[in-house]
Amino acid sequence: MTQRERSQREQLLTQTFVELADVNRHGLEEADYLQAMATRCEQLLNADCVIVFRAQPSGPLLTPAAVSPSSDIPRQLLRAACSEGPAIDTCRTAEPLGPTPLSGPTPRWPAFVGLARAAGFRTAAATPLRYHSSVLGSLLLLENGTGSLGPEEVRLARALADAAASSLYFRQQLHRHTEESVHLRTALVSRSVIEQAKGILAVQLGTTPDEAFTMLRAHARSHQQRLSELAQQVVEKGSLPADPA
Amino acid sequence: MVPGQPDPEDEGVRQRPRVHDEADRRLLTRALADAIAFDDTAAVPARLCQACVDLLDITGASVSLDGGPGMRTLWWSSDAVAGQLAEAQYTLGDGPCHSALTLSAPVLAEDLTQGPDARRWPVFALRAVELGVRAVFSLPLGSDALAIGTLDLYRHAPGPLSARDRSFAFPAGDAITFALMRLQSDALKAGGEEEADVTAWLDTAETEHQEVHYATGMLMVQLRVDPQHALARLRAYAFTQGRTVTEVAQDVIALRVIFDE
Repeated sequence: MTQRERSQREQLLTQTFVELADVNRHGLEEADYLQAMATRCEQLLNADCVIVFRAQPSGPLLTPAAVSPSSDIPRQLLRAACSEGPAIDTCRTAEPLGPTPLSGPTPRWPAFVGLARAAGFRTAAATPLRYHSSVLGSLLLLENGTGSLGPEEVRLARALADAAASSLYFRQQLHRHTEESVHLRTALVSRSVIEQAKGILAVQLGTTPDEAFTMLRAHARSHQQRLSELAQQVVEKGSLPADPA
Repeated sequence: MVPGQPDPEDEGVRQRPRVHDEADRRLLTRALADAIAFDDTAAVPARLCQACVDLLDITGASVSLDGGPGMRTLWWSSDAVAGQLAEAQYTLGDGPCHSALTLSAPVLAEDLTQGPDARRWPVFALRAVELGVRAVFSLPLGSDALAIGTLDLYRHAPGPLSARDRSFAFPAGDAITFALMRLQSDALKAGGEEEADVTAWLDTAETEHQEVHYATGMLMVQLRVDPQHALARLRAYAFTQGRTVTEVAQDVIALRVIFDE
């Protein structure tokens, strides 16, 4: 590698780490973030194919989230890699899996190896997307027999995966936090609106608060409507919605 | 603090002071851990708030939840004055907690008898001083993206919230936020078909202002106005009578007060 090439590579590396750390660069579209990651990994890792998998919140399987741009991966291979092979093993152990030849008489992952070899791949490696004890997915690297995928590449892949995992983790936390805040506010608002609707009905129909509430609830039940939705309608229209004749 | 004028105190707050002293750090950690390690999750926010009263140089504290204009619930208060301060701000629709929510930033008023703090909320400041309160500090709960309420601290004596106290109060506010979120998410997980069950955890709130919402509904029909307008009428009446909006709402419900169009 010439001095110039080395310096270009260093620049790309630095830029990649900065990109991976910036949670909000791609807004909240996780797919775009992972696609950008796959593209950078392909550029940096000398792999012929880089696939990013996401762990499903419940259950042991993976979902393919992004494939590096210049690779053409058979759908069957993608599907097989979700349940068998280096991508899932690295999630289970939460440790990187070094370059492994896809050959031998009794392969470790029969279905995956068969399909990967048929697609022209000879070596595979993987590293988890891990933030402390949370495994959020994994990175699968495939190489077609050029010998370019070595331990050095896997080390770098691991560093990139670590950077991405912490970003993903915090993005996830922020998202959950915002969602919970919205739920909490909704709970407060619906209770207030139900009270307002009770007040409206009580004056209109000359009932007690309890009678107004019973009426509101009965109407919601018989129309299979949420109480808070009905209350909101009452507040907006100023009365119970009329029954369709 | 005057709007548009940078406050040196506020800058310090935004930087989130750290707990420097090792003994202080242990004290804080223990207080937070004690408050959280409790079977009754509904009591956790209150215990965290009580920990603030015990550890900080303040007289009392309260936690309020906010759902938007007029939809404010007092979750817990350490004493009657803390509750009255919250009620005064609810009645006026103004005060440090409203500023903290609007700005999504802490609001620190160290002397309500004079200077910028007294001018910023003149009516609230008068009422607070009547209650013997000289300094109030309001910290927003929730995330920067969405505030869900405030942790409000008050003191009989004027003076700033020290760096040490700020370094305690902020993590306590975060812990209160998480405790409240947990109540809500536990309720959602357990959520039965009836919505009432999902929000039942709010039943333990100290003052939910349900009478105010009910009276707002009554006035909407009587005056043919929208909810904001009806609540504004209740507040204005309460203010001219020198009473709280909850008291006036109770009178409206009992038909002791009838509004004209």
